Amino acid sequence: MKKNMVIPAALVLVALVYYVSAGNVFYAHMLIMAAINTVLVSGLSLVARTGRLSFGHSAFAAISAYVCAILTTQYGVSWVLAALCGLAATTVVAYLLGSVIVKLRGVYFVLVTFAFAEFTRLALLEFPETTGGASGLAEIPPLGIGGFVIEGVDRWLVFSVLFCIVLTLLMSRFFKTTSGKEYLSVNDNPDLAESSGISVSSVQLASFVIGGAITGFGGILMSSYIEFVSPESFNLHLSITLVTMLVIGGVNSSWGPLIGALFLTPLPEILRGAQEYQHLFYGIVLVLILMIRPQGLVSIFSGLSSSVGALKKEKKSA
Amino acid sequence: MFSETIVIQAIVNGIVIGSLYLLMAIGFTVVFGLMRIVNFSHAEFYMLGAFICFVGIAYFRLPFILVVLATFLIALAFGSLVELSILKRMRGDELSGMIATIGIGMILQSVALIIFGPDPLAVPSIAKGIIRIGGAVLPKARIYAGVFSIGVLVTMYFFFHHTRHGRALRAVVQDREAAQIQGINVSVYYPIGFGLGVGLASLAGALMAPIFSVYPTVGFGPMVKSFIVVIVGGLGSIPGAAIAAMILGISESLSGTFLKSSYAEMFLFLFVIGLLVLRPQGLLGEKS
Repeated sequence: MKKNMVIPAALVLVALVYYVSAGNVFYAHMLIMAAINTVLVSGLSLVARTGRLSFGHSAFAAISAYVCAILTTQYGVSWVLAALCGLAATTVVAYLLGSVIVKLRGVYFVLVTFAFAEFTRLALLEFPETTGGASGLAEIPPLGIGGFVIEGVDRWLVFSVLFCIVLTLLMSRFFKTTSGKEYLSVNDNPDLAESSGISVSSVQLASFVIGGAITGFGGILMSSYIEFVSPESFNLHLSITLVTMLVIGGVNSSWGPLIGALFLTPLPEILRGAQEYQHLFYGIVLVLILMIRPQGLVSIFSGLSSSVGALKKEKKSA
Repeated sequence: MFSETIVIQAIVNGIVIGSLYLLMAIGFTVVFGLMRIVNFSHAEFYMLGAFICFVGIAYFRLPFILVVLATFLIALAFGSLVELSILKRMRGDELSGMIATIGIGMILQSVALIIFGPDPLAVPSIAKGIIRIGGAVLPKARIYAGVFSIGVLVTMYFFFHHTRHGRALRAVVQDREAAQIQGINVSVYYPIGFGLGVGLASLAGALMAPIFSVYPTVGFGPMVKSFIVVIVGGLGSIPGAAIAAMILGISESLSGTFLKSSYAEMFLFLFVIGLLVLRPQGLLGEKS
C-alpha cells in the first residue's frame, strides 16, 4: 500500500519542482486547478465509497461559493467567517436533501441529485438582486486567514497543493479506521453491514453531508482563486466532470480523486493545439481509458507496486 | 390575456411536446432496464436524429416520413454498433458503462460541432398551413409531429407486446436469467436494446427538428425532461411515464404561455424532488 502513495505523491512533487525551476505560470495554474478539482472530487468520492453516486455535487460547490461570495462582497464579512457560513449552509442543505433521498435506490438517487443540481442553477439565475443572475458575482476578495492573504499564483500553488495532499492523506487514513471501514462495508455488502449493527442509511447520510461539505469547500476555493462565480461555474457539467474524474482516477481508491484530477484537468489544455478537436479527443481518451483500465488509472500504480512486491518475494525465495 | 383558444393551443402543443418526451423516456427506460446504466448519450442521439432530419430534408429534399424512418434505422444500427464496440466490454460494470456514455456523447457532440458549427440551423418547414380546432389555430407541422410520435408509440406498444423480439426483450429486462432459461439468446438483445433505446431518442429528435432549430447541444434539455418523466412516472411503468410526459408537456406549454418560464422550470424541479419524498417509486411505479 505504501508504494501506492509514494508514486502519486512523487508525481505531484515532480510537477512542483518543474514549476519552480521553469517558473511557468501556465503550468502553475493547471496544478492549482487540478488541486482544487481534487478537493471537489474528494467530497464526491466519500459518497461514492458508501455506494452512492451523486450528480448533485456541483450544487454543493455552488451553495458554499455563493454564500461566501455574497457575504464577502455585499456585507464585508471576513473570508474565514464567510467560508464557515458557506460550509454551514451547504451542510444544512445536504442534510435536508440527504435525509429524504438516502433511501432511494440507485438510479433514482442519480436522477434526483441530477435534478437538484439543475434546480440550484435555476434558483441562482432567478434572484439576480443577491446572486447577480446570469452575470454572477465578480471581484470576490482573496482568501485571507487573519492577516495572511493568499493571492497570486505562487501562494495559491503552495496552498492548494498542500491542502489537496493533506486532504487525500486524511481520506486514505480515514478509510483504515473503524468508522472508515464501516463506510466501505456499506458499499461492499449493505445487508451484511446492516446485520452487523451498522445503520446503512445513517452512514450514507453522514457521507453525503460530509462529502457535500468537502465539495463545498472546493467550491469556495475555486471561486476565491478565480475571484468570480456564476451559475455556469457550477452547473451539471461540473457534476459530470467530477464523476468522470472520480471514475477515471479510480472509484475504490483514496488516490482516485487526485489521479483523476491530475490527469483530466490539463487534458483539454494539452489538446488545445487542435481546438476544434479538443472535446473529440477528450471523449475518445475517456472511452479508451474505460475500455483499457476499467478500475481507473490508479490500477496502473497498484499493478506496478504489486508486481514490484512480487519481484521482491521472488528474490527472497531465491 | 386569457382566452379559450390560447388554452386549447397551449394544450395541443403540450401534448405534442409531451409525446416527444415520452419517446425519449421510453428509450431511456429500455436502455436502463437492459443495461442498468443511465444513458447520458441520450441527448446526443436526440441531436443525431435532429441533424439527420436536417440533412435529409434540407439537402436531399426527401419526404419527411422517409427521413424519419431512415433516422430510426440509422440510429438503431449505429447504436447497436456502439454497444458492440464499446459498451460490450463494460457489461456488468454499470459505473464504467455510464461514464462511457458520457464519453460517447462528447464524441458525437464534437463531431456535430465540427461538421455543422455551433449556430442553430432551421429545418425547412415540412408542412405549410394551419389547422383550426374551434377557435384555436395550430400549425400543421406541429400536428404532424404529434401524430407521428403517437403513431410510433402505438407501434412500440405493439412491438413490445405482440412480437417475438419485443416480448423477448421485455423478458430480458424483467429477469435476465429466467429469460435465458426460456432459450432467449440474451447477449443478442444488448446491442438491439441499446440501438432501440437510442433509436427512439433519435426519432424524437427528428420529429422535433422541423418545429425547433437544430444545433449540437439541442438534446440536453429534452434529456433532462425525459429524466424527470422517468422519475415522476416510475421506472418501467409505461402508463406512468405517459401520464408524467403529458403533464410535463402541457404544464410546460401552459406556463410558457402564461408565466415567466424560468420560474415554472424551477418549481418543476422542486415538485419532482418533493414527489420523490412522498412516492419514491413514482406516480404509478411499483414498489420493489
